[in-house]
Amino acid sequence: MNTVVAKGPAITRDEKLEILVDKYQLSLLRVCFTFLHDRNLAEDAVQETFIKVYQNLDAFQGNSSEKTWIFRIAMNACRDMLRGRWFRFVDRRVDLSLLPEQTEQMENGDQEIMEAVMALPVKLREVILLCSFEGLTTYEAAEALGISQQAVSGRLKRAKERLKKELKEIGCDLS
Amino acid sequence: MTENREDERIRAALNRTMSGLKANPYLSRRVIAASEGEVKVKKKLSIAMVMIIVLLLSSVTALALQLSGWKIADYIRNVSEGKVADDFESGFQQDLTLDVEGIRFHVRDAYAAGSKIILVTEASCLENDTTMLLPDRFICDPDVTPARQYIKELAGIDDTITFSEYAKQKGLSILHVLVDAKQKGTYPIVSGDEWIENDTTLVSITSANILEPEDGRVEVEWEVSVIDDSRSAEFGEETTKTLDFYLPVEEVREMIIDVYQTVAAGDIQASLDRVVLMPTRLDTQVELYYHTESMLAAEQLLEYRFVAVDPSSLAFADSGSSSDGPEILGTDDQLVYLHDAWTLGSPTETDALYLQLLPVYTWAKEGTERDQGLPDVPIIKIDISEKD
Repeated sequence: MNTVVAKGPAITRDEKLEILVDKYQLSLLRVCFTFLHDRNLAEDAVQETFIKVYQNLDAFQGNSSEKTWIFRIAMNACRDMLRGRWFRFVDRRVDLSLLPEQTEQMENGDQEIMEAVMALPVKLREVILLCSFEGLTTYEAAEALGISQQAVSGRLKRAKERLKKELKEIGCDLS
Repeated sequence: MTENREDERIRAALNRTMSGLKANPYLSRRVIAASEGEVKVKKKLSIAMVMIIVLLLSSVTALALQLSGWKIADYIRNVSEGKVADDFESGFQQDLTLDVEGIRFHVRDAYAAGSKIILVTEASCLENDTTMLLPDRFICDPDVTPARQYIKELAGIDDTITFSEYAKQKGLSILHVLVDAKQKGTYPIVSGDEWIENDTTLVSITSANILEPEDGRVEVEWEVSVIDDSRSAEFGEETTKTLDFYLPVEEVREMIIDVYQTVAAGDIQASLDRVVLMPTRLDTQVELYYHTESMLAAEQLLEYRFVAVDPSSLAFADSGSSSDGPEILGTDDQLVYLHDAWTLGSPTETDALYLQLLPVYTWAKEGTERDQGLPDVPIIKIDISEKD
């Protein structure tokens, strides 16, 4: 099984954490940024995620995949931040200028797709990020979000329809 | 294929747009330092204290929002209601409610037994009864879904009328709502069933597995949402509230029945090994364990499902909630083991359970809900009369 957490005692907890941080940090940061619209908050959410991962490394049973487990923790960290009462007092409009300058060549429509994903309602954004962006199956996303597989499928469909509609209005194609 | 292309396009666009975000090389060290330095203090607040804090926060928030030109309703939208009920006695005629966007959600019954939480929620309009409440559009599309799937009285009278047509005839508008319940802080398999009473009341049964009861009780997170398709603001489309409360967990007697009966699913041979029944006040939880001889056969078996039927009419037994379908549990050198679980809608009071192994793909493909077994499929009789 291609997991770090499930490996035996050959490596220490600290070493396990380092491997996991190397493996998932960037993905988590991108997911959390898209979710929260804020780079600093995203970094906090990623750190919070790994603190919980580190504290629960020994308790992880392997009932779900390592990736599902970690993204479940990250999604909850993001949700907690969204629910924070102060969150509503801050301007959370989509603003890509908050991002550092791209190191990869952008293509036509990239920015519009990013903005459209960030503008999705939270529950639709979650499933797009986990399924379309991170490649989790609907079953894994259901585990990560604590909802039924059917709900994930429904929300995914709704999210994609909405994305296509929004993008079509500005002359951008998703396919 | 189109979906894969769309996913790939989204993935590439997001990756390129965020390519400037860099990993923090010191994150591991920061995490370890933060973990080692952290002292966890768990505080339990009394209900009175929670209410005082809620009131204080509400007034401070209201003032702040007035100053910033917001409406308090905007603030409450999507924000957790917080914990207002500590111990919630299970049983019928409960009085927990949440009001969202003019819809009242009411817990008709809440029950935790064995390894499951079962919550019956009733949703109806607060002020008028001219709105028909339906589940999420992607579960129940008003233009496609036959109304009889949720309005039992229509079965056999009009099996084809859609919700849109039905609502038009009755002069009703349509709004979609969602109900969810689970053990707080866990990630269970949630399933359920829904129906409509008196045209305008939606009743939802939500069932979720419990991972670990604490001191004989479980903390339940009840979440309700109203979906307004006409809105497009970020927080506008789905308005959600949650309420947390505790339920005592009742122990349930398990009836373990060893069956070991061979059964055919098309060309595949399987053995139904064990059936476990857990009768509660509301339903009977049923678990099935079976095996076959190869992974290929097991994967084909995932397209089949054991269904409880009436042996004379072949009508499906009154179903309760359903899991997401059978799963492969594991394999040894020779056999592959599978598991499925669902509930019967009422406690089992008969001496036998009659099962058919039916292809699920057939009815999913046809897009219709089958409500009857097949005459050419053998019936397995499970004697449950004298089992412990």
